[in-house]
Amino acid sequence: MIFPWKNTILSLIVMLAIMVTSISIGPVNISPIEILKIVTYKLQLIQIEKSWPESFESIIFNIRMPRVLLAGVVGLALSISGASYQALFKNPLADPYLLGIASGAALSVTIVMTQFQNSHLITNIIPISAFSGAIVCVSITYYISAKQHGSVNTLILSGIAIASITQACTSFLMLYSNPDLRPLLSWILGGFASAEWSQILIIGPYILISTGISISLSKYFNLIQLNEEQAQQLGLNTSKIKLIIIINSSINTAAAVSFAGIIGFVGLICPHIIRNLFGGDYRNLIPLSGILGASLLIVSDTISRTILNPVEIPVGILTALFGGPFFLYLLAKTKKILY
Amino acid sequence: MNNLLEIINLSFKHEDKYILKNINFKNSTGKLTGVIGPNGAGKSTLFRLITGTLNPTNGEIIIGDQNIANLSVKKRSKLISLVPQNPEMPSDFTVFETVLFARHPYTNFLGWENQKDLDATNESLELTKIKHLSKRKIQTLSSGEKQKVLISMSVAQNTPITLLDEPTSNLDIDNQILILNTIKNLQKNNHSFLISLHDLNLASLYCDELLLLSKGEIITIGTPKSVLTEENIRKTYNTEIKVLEHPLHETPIITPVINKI
Repeated sequence: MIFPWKNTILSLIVMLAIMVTSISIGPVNISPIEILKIVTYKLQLIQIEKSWPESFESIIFNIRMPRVLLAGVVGLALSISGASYQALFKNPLADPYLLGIASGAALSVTIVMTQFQNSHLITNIIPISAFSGAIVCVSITYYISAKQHGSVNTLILSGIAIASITQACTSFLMLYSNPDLRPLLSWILGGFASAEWSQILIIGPYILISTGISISLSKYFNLIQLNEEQAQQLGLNTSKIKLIIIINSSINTAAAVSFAGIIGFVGLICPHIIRNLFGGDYRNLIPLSGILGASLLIVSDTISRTILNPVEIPVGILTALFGGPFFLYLLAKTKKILY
Repeated sequence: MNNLLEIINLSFKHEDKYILKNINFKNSTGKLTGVIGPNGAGKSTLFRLITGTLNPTNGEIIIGDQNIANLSVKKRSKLISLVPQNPEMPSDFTVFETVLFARHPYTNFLGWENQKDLDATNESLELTKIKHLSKRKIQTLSSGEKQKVLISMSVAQNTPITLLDEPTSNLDIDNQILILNTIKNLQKNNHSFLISLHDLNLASLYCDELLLLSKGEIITIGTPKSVLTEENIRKTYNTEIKVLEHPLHETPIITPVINKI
């Protein structure tokens, strides 16, 4: 088995096409060819005569491109952390949203946003606080699940309990500390309406490094699917690998939650589709579900900002509307897909 | 014959209680040694000490000329392979992918395999006669086939010694024979096996040598004929038995003596 270059490159090309199409769609339609021309012009790759209004450049570079890119990196992060948690818990139903990890990150961010409203450092603190919330929640879930030998019921139920507790705290904080709830509420519901280049620059490096680590360690994700004794006698330090997965995936989840709020089910659906198409090898699963996650979230975000134009639906509502029934379907056939 | 595995004064204590006490034992190249004894005798603990999952309280385990306590986990995994009693195999991997897992000790630090690993996997699938299952997913296999995949993994791991912890439990007699014949075939390649078995008759039939454990101590080591005596079995298993002779192989057969109701 070598790295799945062919599939990865093909899916990257599809993802790029989706990105360009998404940028072209909106109240002002700009054709994909025009977008390519404008980007080439801006990058000064070749000499092109300017044949478009000035406003097009502003729409592309200030509004749509940061939004599409943010949706892409968040989708990538959620999907890869979903696949990694599935490896860790040896359970295809694990997902940062269902395990309560995203809610934990959201609670920490809410604390920071409500308590330090006027601090100019707030955008930099957000990812770090989200990480601390995520790591606490995943540790609790992992501890409880390991005590029950990884039972599916325990895993899902402890996720529900953690999500309920953290969501209750988040709601309480929101009601008692901020007179204008709308920005916080729309962030919690999950979306990219306020996407900015600065947000991409803050979370981008976390997500890219963490994705690189996940891809390079994906062989070990395969080995921990064996039991502890088997993996150890094959020369694997299982506790070290598990610790790396917990920390690495929590960084990914936290980075995604920081500016995009809670977007459910992406981390569940994408690895599942890839697993059905290409099998369970994590060396395929990690990179391909990452690319699928990015593409899926870009498409969802495009739908959420255009379907009820000029009103925007938070993308978290959309993914939950479609992801919820999908999850129920998975639960119904869970016996067949369990490891 | 060389001494491949040497266990010297090995003891293991758990919460002030000796699970294994003063185990001394040598196994030479190409031998199939059966470890027998009643439940709780310490068979699995002995295996865990040899694989290094547990650390001994006292004593040494030498493989070839190396003390395994001084070896890294990766080096150890090139010397000893284990077919565990309660394995887990990810159900949506194919047989080939699963057997390829066993090449991990030979891969680079990122764990990617090369052509040599693919060849070794193919070879071990052929040796264990499951090449035709290569593309099947683990979830579609029968218990006997899964057990063969585990044995194929230990072959692909390419270690001079393999430990098999109850490889025939939960299997019907046809699959028991199939598994033990596979092991016997592999033994021809100078591969050594340490196998724990509940079924004394199978142990008697297949093993070159038996090691009888009871309450953490070795009662006796020797040929099946010398170990499986009425007195030894009565003493360790606390059960009345009769020892007969196999009509074809002249090995001992154990049969229980019961009072007809």
